[in-house]
Amino acid sequence: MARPGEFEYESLQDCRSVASYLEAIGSGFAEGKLAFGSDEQQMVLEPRGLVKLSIKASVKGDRIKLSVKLSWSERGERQNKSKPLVIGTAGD
Amino acid sequence: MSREVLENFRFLLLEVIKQAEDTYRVCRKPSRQAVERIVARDDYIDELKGLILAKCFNRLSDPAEKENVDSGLLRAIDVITGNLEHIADYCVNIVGQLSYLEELSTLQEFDYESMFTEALGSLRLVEEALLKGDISLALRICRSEAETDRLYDRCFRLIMEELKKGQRAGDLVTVLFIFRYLERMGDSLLNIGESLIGRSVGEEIKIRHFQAIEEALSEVEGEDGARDFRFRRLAETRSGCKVGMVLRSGGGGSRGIIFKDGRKEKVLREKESFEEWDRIIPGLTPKVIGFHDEGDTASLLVEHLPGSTFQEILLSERMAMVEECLGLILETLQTIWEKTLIPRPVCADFAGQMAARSEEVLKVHPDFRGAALTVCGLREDPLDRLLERVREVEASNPASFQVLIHGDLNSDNVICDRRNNCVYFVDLYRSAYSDYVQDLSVFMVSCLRLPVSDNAFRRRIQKVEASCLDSGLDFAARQKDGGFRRRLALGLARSLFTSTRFELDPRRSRDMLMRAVYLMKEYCRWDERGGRAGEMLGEVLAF
Repeated sequence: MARPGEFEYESLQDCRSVASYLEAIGSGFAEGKLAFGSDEQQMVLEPRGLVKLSIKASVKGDRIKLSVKLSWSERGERQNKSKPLVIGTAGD
Repeated sequence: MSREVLENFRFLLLEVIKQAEDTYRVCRKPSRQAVERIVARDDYIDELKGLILAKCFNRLSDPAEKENVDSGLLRAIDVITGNLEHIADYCVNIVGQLSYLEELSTLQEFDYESMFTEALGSLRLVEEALLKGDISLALRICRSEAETDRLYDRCFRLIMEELKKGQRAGDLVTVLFIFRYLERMGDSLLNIGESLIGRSVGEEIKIRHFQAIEEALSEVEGEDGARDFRFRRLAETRSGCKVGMVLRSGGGGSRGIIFKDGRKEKVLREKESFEEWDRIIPGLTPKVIGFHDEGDTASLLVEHLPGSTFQEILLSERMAMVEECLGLILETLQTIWEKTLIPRPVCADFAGQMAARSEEVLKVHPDFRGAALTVCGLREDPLDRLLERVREVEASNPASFQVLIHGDLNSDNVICDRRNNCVYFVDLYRSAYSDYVQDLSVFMVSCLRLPVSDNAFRRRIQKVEASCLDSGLDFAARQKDGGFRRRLALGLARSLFTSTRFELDPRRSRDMLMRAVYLMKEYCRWDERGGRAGEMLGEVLAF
């Protein structure tokens, strides 16, 4: 179970489904809004300005790993907002 | 046995007998000195017990004694000593209760004498039974429990009748407590008797199991020597069955018989399945040697088969041997399926099988329950909703024919006899006419889930999985079973999911769950995605 302020999802997908996820996340960046949530809580991220993108790929025998890490700071904006990171329940 | 341990044990036994005799006397005629003697003796008994156990453990842990030590005897002494001490404690409890009686005459209205006589009679047999390894004496001691229960029950009813009269309630309740302690002496005597029987047959055994084996052996081979066997516990199955090996000597060698004991309904179903399979495919299942039922439980004696389970072979033999045995198993399965095929649709109800075990799974892995999630607009169902969807889809996608299935075709329920080039099926209590995919998927996942992470072994498993898949595809093609891959995906999901309850490693169990969830989701949207998961089965099985 993810802690408040965190979202975690792990699953097994085939490549077509992986593409759907990447597309959905890509659209979220394009629109400036990424929503992650469960029945209990929802988290909305609003990336603006500069985003650090790091891509790592490794091949160790038959084990392949590709990690894409995106990080940015919302400090200025989020501090101005009265709402915390977890902004409400699903359906709000 | 060390002379010292034996001496201390004899002292302890004598003291407990004296304790019971004195307690009986005090019940007849209370005396403060006698009560003090009983209380003081209890301390001595506790000390003796501690001394005996310490000496037993010293002998067991002494490297110099390694060769000479009779661990079976020490185990019996440990159990008997503990139970003798309980009996002595009950004596102290009984005299303690006497002080609460307003009228001692209330106690005299009820037959405690017979209960003391029974317990003392058995206590006096313990030494001889242990030293001579005399099973008849051990059985006599075991029977004390039933006799004590009978006597207790009679007094209990009389006390209840008296209580209804509404007088002397305090004294009657005290008397009831006294009888309860006497009844518990019977329980301790049963433990002592069972331990003595265990000493004779090789391992501790419940009196019920001993009698069932004796009964079954005497039915098959006559009364003579029906008690002459050794017993070795093999396993206690997850379903609660006790499984043991009965070794019979004679005819120039010893032969083994498998003993199973459990709920009557289940054992009877297994017996009937053995018989049904033997009619259809003679020689595939072990011969039933004996069956004995009593109340809600039953025991089954079946022939012990030569060979090793496929699981043992997979774990320890050369790959060529594994392939040879696997070939034999898959060939046998195809023969069974062809021979028993009935062109009538059937639904294996994999969703129901998962639902029936999901509580157990969630007890071990509460985090599997999960919640509905959304990732940037993409929605993932929680486990219960996914199972519900599977159930709906499965109901309208049955197999078009049914065959006789094993019902629990784990790799350790198949025995391969390489010498005679044949395989045997055991543990058939879930056997029924159903979808052949059930047996195939259970077998595949039982190999897959073996907790060996060594790369060479995992490659070995991959080959096994590939052969099973090919064999299934081959049969499906011949039967024009177009839904095979889809049902196999669900069957594998079912076994992966339900197996997680036996997998405590969080990484492995999570991995199994993710594969099961992937297969279930793909099963539900099979047509929509052109059965893509069918092509992925090989990969899903690679871990």
